Parts: sequence; structure tokens; C-alpha cells
Amino acid sequence: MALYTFALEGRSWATRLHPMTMATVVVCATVIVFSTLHLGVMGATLAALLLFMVVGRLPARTTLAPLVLILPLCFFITLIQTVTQPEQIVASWQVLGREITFSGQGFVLGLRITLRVVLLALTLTFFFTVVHPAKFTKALCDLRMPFKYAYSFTLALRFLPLMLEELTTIKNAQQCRGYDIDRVNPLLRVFRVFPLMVPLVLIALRRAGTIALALDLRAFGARPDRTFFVEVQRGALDVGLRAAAVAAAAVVLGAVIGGWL
Amino acid sequence: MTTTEVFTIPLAKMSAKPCPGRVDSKGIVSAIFLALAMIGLLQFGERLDTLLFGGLFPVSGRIISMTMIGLGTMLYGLVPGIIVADINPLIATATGTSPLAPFWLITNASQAFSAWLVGRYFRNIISWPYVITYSITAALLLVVLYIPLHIFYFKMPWQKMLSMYAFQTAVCIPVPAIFLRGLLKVIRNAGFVEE
Amino acid sequence: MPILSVRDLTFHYPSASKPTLDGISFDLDRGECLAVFGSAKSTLCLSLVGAIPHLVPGRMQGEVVVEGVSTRSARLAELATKIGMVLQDPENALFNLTLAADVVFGMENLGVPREEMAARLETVLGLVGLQGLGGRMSQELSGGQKQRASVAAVLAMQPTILILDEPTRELDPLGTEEVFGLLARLKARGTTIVIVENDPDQVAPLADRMLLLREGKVAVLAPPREFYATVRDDPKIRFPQVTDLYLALQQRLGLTGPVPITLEEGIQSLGALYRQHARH
Repeated sequence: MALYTFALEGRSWATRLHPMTMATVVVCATVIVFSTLHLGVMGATLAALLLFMVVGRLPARTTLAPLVLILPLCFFITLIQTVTQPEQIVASWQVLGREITFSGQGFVLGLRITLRVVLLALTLTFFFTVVHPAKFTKALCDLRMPFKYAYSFTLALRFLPLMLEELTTIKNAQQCRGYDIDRVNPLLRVFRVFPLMVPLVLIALRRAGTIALALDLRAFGARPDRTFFVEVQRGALDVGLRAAAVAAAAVVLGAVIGGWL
Repeated sequence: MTTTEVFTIPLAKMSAKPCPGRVDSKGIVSAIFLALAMIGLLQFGERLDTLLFGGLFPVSGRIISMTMIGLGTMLYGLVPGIIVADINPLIATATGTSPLAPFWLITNASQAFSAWLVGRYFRNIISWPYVITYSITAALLLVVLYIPLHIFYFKMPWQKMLSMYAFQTAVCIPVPAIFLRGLLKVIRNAGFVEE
Repeated sequence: MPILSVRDLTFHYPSASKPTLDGISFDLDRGECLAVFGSAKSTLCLSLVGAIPHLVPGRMQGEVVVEGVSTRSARLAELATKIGMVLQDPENALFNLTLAADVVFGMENLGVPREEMAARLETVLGLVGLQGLGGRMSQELSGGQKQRASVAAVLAMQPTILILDEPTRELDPLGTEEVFGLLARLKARGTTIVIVENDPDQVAPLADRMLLLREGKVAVLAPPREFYATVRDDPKIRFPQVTDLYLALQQRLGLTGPVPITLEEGIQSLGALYRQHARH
């Protein structure tokens, strides 16, 4: 299930939040996470996000599934910190004439950075789970972004499945012609991708031309003062959430600057 | 009153157009579709990038992105090139496929900027000098942009990462250049370009 | 006064020496249905809707006047409220995530107030038989539903003329039936229709007149019976099965009755013929 499906269903109070409220939460969480690697602060941020997920009835499986994809990154971050940090060496080995050291401090630093990555990934995942793409477009237009650019995201979401289907069709067609990328070493596939790239690009350009025509025939971009069917309203909850997020970020930032964290 | 500007596109005689480029419906939608094609192609290099430190030093992703973003910028101009560049990070974040995606908004846009900037100095962009110059510029700019990411986000000792940066750059110069020139020739021969 | 008037329309694509459309002239009355066959059909459709000259590069001569407004001078947004076009592949005409969003898209672009959008949305969804499906994701609709959604999206802008360029090409027989059922209802309501369609069995009962383009020129413009009688020897034209049969028998048996274009008419005329011969 795509993340935005939950937002389209609109069953949770969280999906009725103004997109800029969620954007404020994301920005503030980012500021907090980049300000410090203090475990208490990051733990509190994580707890707040999980609380939001529970209270907002966000689908846990869909929202947390992307975290699995960052496991390799987290592993390598921790490994690199462990072998490159010079303090608190807990072990060392000689490998091919070179000394490889393992740092306890590096290991802990790696875990903290992993937590930072997880927090940022979660925040952004929540944003796209909760925010309706059309409301996101309207919010961007309210910020004076021209509609034709703000609409690009919705258009991309709509046609992504179609393009992936086209790619599968091309792959199958090329297989019939004796070119099977699935048989190529996975580590070398990108170097053999040209026979798929060319037809896909041509199909993309051709389809884009037709869609652009259809858009223009529906008066796309005709008026800068276009109306919107979707409504985006700001309520008391939006004000409260924004205030809380900004206050939290200000406190953490202040504590970091003041040297308490 | 909005006036309709008729473009003859893609770029006549394959010269780079000044900023902002083609920003009518066709330019923008074509850029979006090139971005979607890029997303589809990126899946073929996922394993290689995962092996290269979990995506910290992507090679295949960089090859595909440099090719497709360069293509979009060369065909339609800087703003459509930025659309090609930045749709992927937004979609990747929205579909939860990568935590590094928000940073790609800047690093990918730098590739569009490289393509546009280098294109201003070449009369014909379906040429080896142009695609190689673009590849070198984009690859080096990416290394420069990734260093702050590695330092501030991941607290990496960037001096110890130099060999990885060098490997990445060495691979990501020739391959996108070859792909890009091949694509441009095919697109021209397919009739999408007016000579 | 005709609702659509084409005068000496000639169009050259860039770097083409021969014109794709060459001196096309015809009028269309309100509520009429015109079926178009032959070459350059899509180019003609693009000219009628204003895409030529505003979007498609080339050289256009002559005039297309829609409800008294020339397509050369009017903006596309203004033309969209008078004449709308449904494309071949509905997948290319549904840009939003949900059906309701697609139907209101054109209205939003035209600045229609929200309350009016809601009212028109209900009306057009009911008209095309998709009521209650506004919240459905566009990609989950069937082929026939997508094409009807595409029609709804155009109708929401309240054009008086509807152009359909091979609307059932990508559809299965069930989808085709759904679309033509809708077109019959629209015609009954007085919508003017121009349709490019290769399925003669479906289009013949719907059309008031049929236009054949050959080498960019108008070759035949006549009501269906007269049309099929005139083009009987053209191997490129597909006939309704019952018409094909009747014309074949007409030559052999020297029949003089009207050419049937629907199954019911065919049963009547061929039935009468059978009864006549059976007596002997």
C-alpha cells in the first residue's frame, strides 16, 4: 500500500491537519535531530513520534516498513564509525599488514547516528502518510508556488505505477529478443541497462506529449487564480501542534547553544 | 491575460537553452516522465549500491541519475532538469524507499545545474566533449556536496573516505557520458528533436 | 447558424511538403453527430478543438469557428468551455489519484467556485454511470470506466461539442458497449458529437452524417445510408456487418430498398426479402 493511501482515505484526525503543520513538525524534528546526538533528546523525539503514530492511528506496518530498507545503511554507518574513530580502542587486528582497530566510542557514535537516521526517516514517512497529495499541492500554491510546479508531485505519483509497468513490459520484450537483465550479475546490472533505458525513455517522451496535450485541453495553467475542490483549513489542533514543535526545537537548540546538551 | 507560447521542441539543433528552459505543459510533463523513468531504472542498481556501504557511496544510482538528469536538462532546459532531479527524492521519501532522499533534492539539482552550465559553452551537445565535460563537472560537484552530508549527518571522517570518493568519481564519469550520448543520438533519430 | 463551422482548413506539419489537411470545409448543427473516417482524422480533431494552432507546430490556413469564436484567436481555456476532446487512451487523460479529482480538474483550472464544482461533479458522474465512485483511485477503474471517467472530466467543463478520437480503441467489447451507451444518452440530451471510430456497428446507428477524408480532402460527406452506398467499393472502409451483407446481396439480387445500418433494420429489410423469395 502506498503511503498516501492512508491520507486519501481520511479516516484519522491526523489526515485533517494542515500540510504546513506537518511540515512544521518535520522541520522542527530535523532541527532537533541535527542539533544534538544526546540520547535523551533523541529518545524523547522518538517517543513523541511513536505516540503520534498510535494516537493518529497511522498504519504501523506501512509506516514502519521503510525502516527495514535503511538497515544496511545503519550497519555500515556503525561499522565505519567503529573502525575509524581513534578513541577507546577495544580491539585491534592485523589484516594484510594493516592494523584495523575497533573503537567502543565509535560504536556508540555509530548507534547514535543510526538513531538520527531512523528519526529523520520516520518523520518524513509520517508526513507523506498523513498529508493528502492534493492538499499538499494546495498548500504549496498558498505559498505562492505556481500551480504547474506544485502539481508535478501529484502527477508523478499518479503515473509512477504506469511507468513501472511499461518497464516490466520492455524487460519482457527484450527477454524475448535474448537480452535478459535478470541473468546479469546484480552488481553489474547498471552497466548493462542501456537496452532497457532507450525504449523506456522514448515511451516516456511519447506518453508525456499526449498527457501534456490532454492537460492543456483541460485548461491547465490557464489562470493563476484557479480554484481548488479540496479544502485545507487550519484548526486549533494545528496551532497547538505547531507551537509545541517550535517550542521543542527552540528548547533543544537553546540548550545546545547554552552548552547544557 | 495568459498567453500561449508555442515551443518547437525539444531544443532545435540541440543547443542548450537559457534559463528557465521549456516550462510549458509539455516541458514539465516530459521532465516528470523522465524522472519516473529514472525511478524505474534505479532499481537495477540497488544491490550494488547497498553493497557499497549501504548507499553512502552510490555508484549505480549516480550513473542513472547523472544520465537522466543530464538528458532532461539538455532536452528541455534548467527548470525541467531540476524537475527531473527532484521528483525522485520526493517520490522516494513518499514511498519510503530511502532515508537519504531529502538530501538528493540538492545533490540531484546540482547535476541539472552542471548540465545547464556546461551546455552554455557548447554549440552542439550531442558530442563527446560536451557529455564528458558534463560528467566530470557533475561528478566532482557531487563529491563536494556529499562531503558536508557525510560530515554533518553521519559524522564521517571524510579524509578516510577519499579512496571511495575517487572510486565513485572514476566510475561515474565515463559511464553516464556514454549512456547520455547514446540516448541523445537515439532521441534525435527517433524524431523528437528538430534539426 | 451552425455550432461548428470549418472553412478551407489546410494544415502542414513542419517540414512536410504536402498538406495533411487540404481545404476542408463543412458545418455541424447543434445536436448533430458526425463520424469521421479516412486519413488525418486525429489532425482534424486537433484542429477542431484548437490544439492546432495553439499547441501543435505547423502551418494552418483557413478557419475553424466554434459557437461564433475562431479557434485562432480564442484562448484554449475559452475553447475548453465550448468544445472538449476525449483521447484514445483514457490512461493519458486521468491525471489525478482519484476519480473525483479528475472530474473536477478542468473546473478548477477554469476557476469554477467550489459549490458549483460539487454540483457538477454529482451530475456528470450520474450521467456517465459512475455515481458513488468519486473516491475510487483512477488506476483501479476498468477500461470502460476509465473512458467514461475521461468523458465525465470533459463534460464537467460543460462544452456544447464533444470530440472523441477512437474512444474505444483500448477497450474490450463490454467497455465499448458502455461508452457507446453513454454517447447515445448524450446525443439524446442534445450534445453535438464528432467521433472518430473504427467500429462501424457501433458508430453507424449513432451518426447523423459521415465524413470520409482522402489525402486530406473531403471525399464523402453524407448520411450513413448514402455514405455506405457511395463508398461500397472502398476496401479501406469497414461496414456494419448487416450493411455489408445487404450491399453484397443488393448487387446480386438487384435490391432497391434503403440500406440498413442497424441489426433491426437489417432484419426488417432482409426479412422482407426472404419472405418475398420464400413465396416463390
